[in-house]
Amino acid sequence: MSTSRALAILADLQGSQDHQDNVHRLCVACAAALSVPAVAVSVAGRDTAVPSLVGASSPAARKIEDIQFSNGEGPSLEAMSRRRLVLVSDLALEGPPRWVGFTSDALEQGIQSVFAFPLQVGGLLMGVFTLYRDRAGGLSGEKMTEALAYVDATLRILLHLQDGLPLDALHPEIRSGVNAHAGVHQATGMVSVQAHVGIAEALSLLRAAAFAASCALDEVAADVVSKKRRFQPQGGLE
Amino acid sequence: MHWSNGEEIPDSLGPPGSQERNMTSPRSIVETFVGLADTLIAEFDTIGYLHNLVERYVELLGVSSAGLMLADQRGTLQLLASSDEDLRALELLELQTDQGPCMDSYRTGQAVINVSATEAAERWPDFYPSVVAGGFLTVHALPLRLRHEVIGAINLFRADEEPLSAEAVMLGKGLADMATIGLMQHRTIREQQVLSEQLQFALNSRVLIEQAKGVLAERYALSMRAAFEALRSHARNHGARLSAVAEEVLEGSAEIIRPVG
Repeated sequence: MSTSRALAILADLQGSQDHQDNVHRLCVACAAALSVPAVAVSVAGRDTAVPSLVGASSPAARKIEDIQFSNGEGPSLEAMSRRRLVLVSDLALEGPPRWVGFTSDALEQGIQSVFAFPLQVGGLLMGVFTLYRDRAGGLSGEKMTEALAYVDATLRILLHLQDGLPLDALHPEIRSGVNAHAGVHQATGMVSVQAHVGIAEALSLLRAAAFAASCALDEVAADVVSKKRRFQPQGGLE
Repeated sequence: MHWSNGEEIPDSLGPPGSQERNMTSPRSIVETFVGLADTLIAEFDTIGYLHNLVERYVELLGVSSAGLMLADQRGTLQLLASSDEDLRALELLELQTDQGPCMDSYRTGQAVINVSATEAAERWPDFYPSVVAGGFLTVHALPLRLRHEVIGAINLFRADEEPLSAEAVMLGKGLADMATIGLMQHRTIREQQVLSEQLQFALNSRVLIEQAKGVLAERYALSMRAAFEALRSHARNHGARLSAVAEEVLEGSAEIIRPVG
């Protein structure tokens, strides 16, 4: 049963609320246990369009998760918005119709299969746990069971970190991941005023600008916040 | 009398409390254990479940009455279910005097079984006389315990001095173990839901606050820091939560006074 395995995983991890890399180390452990090159965990509030990375098994894992974030599309984002497992055993085959931008970028990074698990308790979604593999093929029953135990363990860590905090507060480990994209949220607010549009549209404008300039969403956002770029009411760049 | 699935009990099993009752009847045990599995779902009627449980004890162990106490967050035992109203008063007395088999069982995590009347009078001098006055002669208790954690105890009362058989004790312990696991699972599920709500709320808040900073920074030509300070003062002056103020800014309904200087 995934609970006892999840607890065993946590026991091996020997993390604590004082540590600020519990989720990172869990991702590393999972990558090793399942022999996959990349494992990443991201959290998101109600607006799953802009998740925040809180754990990655390697810089490569961080990069691929970021590709989804920048493109605004991908298996992990879909797993969150649909609240379902998204299992892509052959990205080259199944990816293109669904996530054009993400697929080409991910294939370029050597990723050939992706398995995304929403992190949820009942109806409440908190984020997503994603495995990236460098070869095509599904997860064996055994590996799926083990993956589910890691998903369970991740949830337990996230909830444990939250325990005892005042309302509105985030544990430092989570907060640092969320702060990393603070610029995107700030820029979204700024653009909504500049272009006289709602928040969702403002984010779309930022994404479109990033795509047009072939740069990361974070970069465009940073330019907006530092006042190097402005947006017009008609939606174009000044 | 009917089982919950609508079938009648065969006459051979006799009325509750009868010594002829076959306490290991497959149907009753299976039904009890199936009922206990219901605790694994979050929307679960704890009190109803506990009432069922004490009634099962009466039926299956052949005791006159049963009561269940669970510890609250502070470790204080609360009476949560009694198989009959008369028993309630007695159990409340047990709690008040802090004496009795349930209290002992909870504290030690051990079963308190087949204590003689003489010993009972000595052990629980403030409680036992009321037991006798209430028409009972023997009292037993089983802990609700999982490894080192004791979450409560079950009181069992008999009107006669028949000892509980080893078989009855084993059955009683089995029921208690299942109940404990179920109750703890349910507690965990509830706690997980609460924490999930809090985490989701906090994640939302952070996004809203950053977006609101952007809005204010742009609208009033402020630095992000000054924008944050404006949010904070407004929240403080109105006794509101920061995330609530942020939401108002985004909706366009807050009148944020632009800080001077």
